[in-house]
Amino acid sequence: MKQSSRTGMTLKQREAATGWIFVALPLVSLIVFMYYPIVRSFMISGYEWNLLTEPKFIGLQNYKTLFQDEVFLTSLWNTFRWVIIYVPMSVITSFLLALLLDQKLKGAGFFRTLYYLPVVAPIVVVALLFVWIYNTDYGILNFILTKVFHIDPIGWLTDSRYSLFAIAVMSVWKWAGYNMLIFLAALQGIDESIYEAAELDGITPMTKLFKIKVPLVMPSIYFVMLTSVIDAFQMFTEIFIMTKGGPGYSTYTVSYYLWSNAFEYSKMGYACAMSAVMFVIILAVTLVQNKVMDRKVQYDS
Amino acid sequence: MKKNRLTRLLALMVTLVMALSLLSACGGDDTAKDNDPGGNSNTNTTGPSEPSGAPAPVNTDWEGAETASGLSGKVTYMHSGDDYEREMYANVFKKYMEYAPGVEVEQMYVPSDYSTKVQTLAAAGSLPDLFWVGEAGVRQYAEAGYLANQNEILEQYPQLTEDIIDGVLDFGNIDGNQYAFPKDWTSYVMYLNLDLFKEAGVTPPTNDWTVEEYKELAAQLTTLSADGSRTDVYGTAINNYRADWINWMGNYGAEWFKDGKSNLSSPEALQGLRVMSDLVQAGSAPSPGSVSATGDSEDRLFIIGKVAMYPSGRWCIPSFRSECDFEWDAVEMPKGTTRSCPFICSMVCIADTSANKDIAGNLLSFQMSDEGLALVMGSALSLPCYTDLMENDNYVNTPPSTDAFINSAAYLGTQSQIDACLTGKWSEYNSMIYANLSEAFEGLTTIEDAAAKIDSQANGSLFN
Repeated sequence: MKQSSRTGMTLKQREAATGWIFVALPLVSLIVFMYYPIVRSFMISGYEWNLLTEPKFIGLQNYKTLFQDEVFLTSLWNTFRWVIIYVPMSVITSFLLALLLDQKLKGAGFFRTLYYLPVVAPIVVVALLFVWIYNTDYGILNFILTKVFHIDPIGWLTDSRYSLFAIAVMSVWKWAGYNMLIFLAALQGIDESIYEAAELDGITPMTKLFKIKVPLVMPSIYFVMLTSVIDAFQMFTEIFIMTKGGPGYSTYTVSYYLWSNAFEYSKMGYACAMSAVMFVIILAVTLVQNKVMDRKVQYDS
Repeated sequence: MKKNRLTRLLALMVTLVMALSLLSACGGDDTAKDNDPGGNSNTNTTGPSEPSGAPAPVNTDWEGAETASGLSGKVTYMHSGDDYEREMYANVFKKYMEYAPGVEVEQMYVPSDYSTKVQTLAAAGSLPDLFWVGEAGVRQYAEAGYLANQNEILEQYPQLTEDIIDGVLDFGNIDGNQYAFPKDWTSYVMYLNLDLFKEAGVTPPTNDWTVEEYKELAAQLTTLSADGSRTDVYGTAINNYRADWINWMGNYGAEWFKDGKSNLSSPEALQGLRVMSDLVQAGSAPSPGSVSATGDSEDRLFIIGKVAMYPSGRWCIPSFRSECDFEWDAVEMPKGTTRSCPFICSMVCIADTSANKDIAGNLLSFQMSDEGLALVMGSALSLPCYTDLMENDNYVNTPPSTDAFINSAAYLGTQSQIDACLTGKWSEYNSMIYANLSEAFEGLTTIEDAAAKIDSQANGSLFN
């Protein structure tokens, strides 16, 4: 094995060292800003700590309190409701948009940009825009419902029956473009010869969709589902801007309640217990999703 | 080979130059950086205005002037507020440094997320010498040992407590020790759009009006659009905000926090809360949720002429003065069975870790002096804590009429508010009240059920 005269290392060792240097910075930042806080928050969850006094070890008391806390249980229920409402809506909308843009249309690039535009718009702006669209008295949505369909004005954000759904629609509008691009890339990656062969066999458009397109973009669907579920469990900004958890606790999510406990009530230990529970829930859901969906994914197109 | 070496040398030099320039850029202003425990706040260091030993301004009534001239050192003063307040306090510090030429006051202005910032600095052991804490946050900081006892300062500067309004010191007093000093306060009054009264042919109320008259006027002033489908002008507005609940409950003499427990279900408290929900249910006031769902606030509705009577604090006056293009005034809040005014204030605290408590105390004394307050009160954002200044139009100026503000000092604060604030759990209790009342205001539950839920939730988890 030839050794470098200057460093005394073999070529393989030098390559390994270079590799380590490249990964060192991201690895250190990952450890410092991601793994350490995760471990630390698990540790803090065993303490009663208001930031101002010395943390007091209380074992599993925070977890015990958590599952007797009505607001937490409501927030947890709302979070699951949010995932169930938002994820399918988001994935289906993105996929439909991708299917539309996958057609050989004139100006497809323009529409692609148009649908992607909300993704780059700041969430605060989008949220405030929808706050006005949803306004009970002056919003355009109620105006149309009242004038055209003669439906009484609906309190989209002030009635607990509709508020979570209304926010989900806004979120879908905001983020659909992002997943649409992923689906579009996958659809455009399907070999044309497969379609040609299928058309020679006289395939119908529906069969083409369900027997060719969907199976072949399954890895993308899997990825989008996985990331959407993880994101949905952590939903915070929209609630913070649009409803502040209200009316009542109807739009409280775990992330919002966690934030309130940490930064409004100074209950750091309790907030960390909440984050630990969420971590476990998200991990469990992801593993189940992995197990269920992995069987349906065909990686070799 | 030679060329290679030259290239390497050049590369090394370029790297060195870049590294040095980066370091010098990071260096910046040493004075400001060394004393900025928070890092990213807007700090404004106004160095000693005169060389040490410069004569102090003469003809002053401020008792600390002589002490100030002999002090030397540096203190950091952290506060929140808008840009206007930042400028006001910059003027206070500038003036103070004329009296204390050996002192440097570093202004640390935190425009947003102030409470989190204070907490973080406390946890990091880097609290500034002086800082503000809301009236409900004092106990937490005092019990954790972050606040210096101000008893000696009050003794050293008797003017601090001379003519002070009864009760205002209580919010910063824990077990007989003063840990925080109220820098000012704000009265809760009813603002009136007199043009809307004129249009409706209704006589505006006077300070002696009652809640029943208020409800009647609110109904009379509410107008619908031509097709009757929406409200054009609301007679009044309510805020789902602590000052509102405290005021309405207090106006019926409610002990809404009693013996360390939440007591919103008491008949008096319910009577007060019902005033708010009745107005919304009658259509005389928009529900707070529908207003916040516009991304706006009730005071904007008053400014644009959509609300005829608006209950709020003195902090609204600067924007009303500059933005209301109609005639407006203020009267006292309507009387229930009695009257009570919520105490809303930021308290000035001195960090126990401050190395310059003598300067901090002296600066506090100047800030609260007639001269110091004159630099702040002209803006009409708040009111002075001293009875003699309350009737001085340099401190409490018009518009609107000053009577409502002056009169409310006589019934400022309630024991319930003091007790609830000093539990150290106000923030969470406040959130519970807010969340449950919002359901009642939106008509999703009754005010009785909401109050019962608040009591059971609070007494079960916070005050058990």
